[in-house]
Amino acid sequence: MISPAVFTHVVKKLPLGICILDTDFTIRYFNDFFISRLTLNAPAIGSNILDLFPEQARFLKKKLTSAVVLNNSSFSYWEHRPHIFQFNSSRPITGEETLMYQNLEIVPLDIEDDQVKTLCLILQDVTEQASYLQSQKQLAAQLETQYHEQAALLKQLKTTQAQLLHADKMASIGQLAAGMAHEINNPLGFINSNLQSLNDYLNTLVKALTFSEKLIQKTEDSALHRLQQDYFSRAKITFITEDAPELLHESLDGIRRVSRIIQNLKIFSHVDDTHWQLCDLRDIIDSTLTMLSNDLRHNVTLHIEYADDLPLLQCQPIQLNQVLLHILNNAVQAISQKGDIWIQVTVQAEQLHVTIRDNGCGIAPAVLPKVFEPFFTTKAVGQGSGLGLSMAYNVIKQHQGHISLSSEQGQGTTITLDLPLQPKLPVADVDRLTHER
Amino acid sequence: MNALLSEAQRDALQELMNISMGQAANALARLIETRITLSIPRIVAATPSEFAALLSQHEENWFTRQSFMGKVNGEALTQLTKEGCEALAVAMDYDVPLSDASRKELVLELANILAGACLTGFSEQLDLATKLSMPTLYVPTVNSGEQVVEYFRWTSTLLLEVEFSVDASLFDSKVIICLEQRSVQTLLASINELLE
Amino acid sequence: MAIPVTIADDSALSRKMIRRALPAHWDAEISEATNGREAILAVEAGKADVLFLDLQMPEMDGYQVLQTLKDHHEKTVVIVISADIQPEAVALVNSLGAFRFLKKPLVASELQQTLTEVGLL
Repeated sequence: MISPAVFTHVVKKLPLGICILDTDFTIRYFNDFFISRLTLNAPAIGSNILDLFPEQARFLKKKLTSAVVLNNSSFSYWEHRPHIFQFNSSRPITGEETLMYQNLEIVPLDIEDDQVKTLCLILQDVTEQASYLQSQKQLAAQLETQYHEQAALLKQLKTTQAQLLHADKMASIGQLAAGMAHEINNPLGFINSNLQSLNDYLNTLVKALTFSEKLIQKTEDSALHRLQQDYFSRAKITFITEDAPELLHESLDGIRRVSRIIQNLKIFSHVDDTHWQLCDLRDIIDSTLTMLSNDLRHNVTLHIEYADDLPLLQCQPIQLNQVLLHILNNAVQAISQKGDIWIQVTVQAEQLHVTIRDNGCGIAPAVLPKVFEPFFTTKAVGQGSGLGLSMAYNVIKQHQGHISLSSEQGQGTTITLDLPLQPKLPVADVDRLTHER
Repeated sequence: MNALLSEAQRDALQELMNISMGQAANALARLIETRITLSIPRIVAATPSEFAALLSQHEENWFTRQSFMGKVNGEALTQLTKEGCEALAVAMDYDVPLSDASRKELVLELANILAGACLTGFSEQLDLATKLSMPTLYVPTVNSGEQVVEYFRWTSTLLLEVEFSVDASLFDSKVIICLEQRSVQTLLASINELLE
Repeated sequence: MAIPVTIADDSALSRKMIRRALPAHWDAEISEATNGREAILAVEAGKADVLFLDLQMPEMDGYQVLQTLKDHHEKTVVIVISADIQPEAVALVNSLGAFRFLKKPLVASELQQTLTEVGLL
């Protein structure tokens, strides 16, 4: 059997604050924890706890009253009320905390006839726990921020990668085109000049034939005359002299068309050209239309309307050329049988306002918000990279302009471009411009 | 229900809860000087999905939990409407408007009073002493009965549910006492003694 | 002659507790009612010179029973035994003419004390 004195001793030495109060909150007992840790003078037995801690009197009174009236333990948790009593820190040397974090429990101790007679105040030092939890929370918040930063970075990276991929693809196609253009240009040159010479030679030969025919007629030698007539008719000379110039003419025309294609290939090979210059947008549109002429010829009627006196536009012409190519290409592809494309350019407040409208199939409302996203495409695999409009968006952004799209399924699509006449150029480009001037 | 409880046992438990609630309400009413309205207590053998449905209302409600240990063990969950909580702040001598910390403090205090009174009431009547621990706020993350079975040690199906509402305020509260399986047996044994 | 007594409470446990709290030697003819309506019927049938009355009951609650008795049968001695022990409940019960308000859980000595006061013991 352990004597009550031992229990008294244990309570005295407990690493918990133990304080026993009357229902009028007079202190009847407190253990060593209170004596050693309180920065106030050691509280005297018999004084009122509310007087000893005036700053917390209201709170303590509420909690103590609740325990008495309700005959039910009441609690206080460090997270809501960290420092009820002003104690010395539990880590005075190393810790950052100057105050002890406390959990408090007020327990009705002696109860007679359902009436609480004494209360026990149990105080726990949870500084360790609190600072651990707080650092954990800080860490969690830090991780959260980092996570969001990285997610944003990743997204940016993906966009950039997509653009690089696209640019890379375009550049290789450009190189190929440039190589081909060069290789084809040479033979094309001599074929062209040879055909010109052949044309001249042919004219001379036809003239010579006509001359000799006339000479034979002048001799009035009927035998010779018949011989010549017979030979000419067997050799279909009349037909040849009529057809040959036509053939040559067609060939020369073909060569001219090949040259033009090669010319456009050369433009296309400069897709990564971001050269800024003052241009007439009409020229850019026209050259784009030339590139598409084959597709446009069959089933599309073009309606072009330019405002009078369009001012010059400070732009990257090759880039705008690409933008228009993608937009017009989409418009052409949206038209399955026969359709119209309207191109209109007007000037509005120092901006060129371009609308390109088609009466093709339109875009489903569900996919409308995604059309400017890289890799988004509704076309069959191999038909489109899904980069066209995203690239267009970025180019127009480069021009400090604005691109927007509206579409109604089955009715058609309208793309609107607003391009400031004088965008503020990136510093590097400004340098280059002034240099060139 | 009622493989678990006979009608006599259910009636007894309900009456005991009724008396506990009466005491709890009286205590709280004395503290805040406002009349408390009581519902008839429900003794439910809830299925896991019903339990999940109850916990899913955490948009409109605060939830707290406290464990209790002694002759009977389990957890007391208290559900308090977010709306109306503020109205009790003045009665409970809190400074309004409430700060985030003091709002949590108020919620925990109310929960502790209600759950404490309920538990004390019926554990005293059945002579089953048990001690309630400090309440903490609880944000239930279970969404379905399956999750309740998966994440909780779902042994007991006995829920004692009581509702308090404070007259002239929107405040509404529910205390749910969940008992461990073994404690259900202990409780039933005590009730049987009472019924003899 | 045995005194006709009715215990009106919807809870079987409560009715049992009240029976147990009654003195063993008391000569009473005890009937039971499980709601307010049954309680009124018991009074009308002469089975309730003394009525132990719960407040929370289905069909007709204790307050309504008190009101009815006050209007028609004021001789019945009503002892309310209730779980709702808030001051408002006590005041209302007293104003409706109940002889005494006893708290649940019922304490046997308090019940016997009350019966003595009425002169039934």
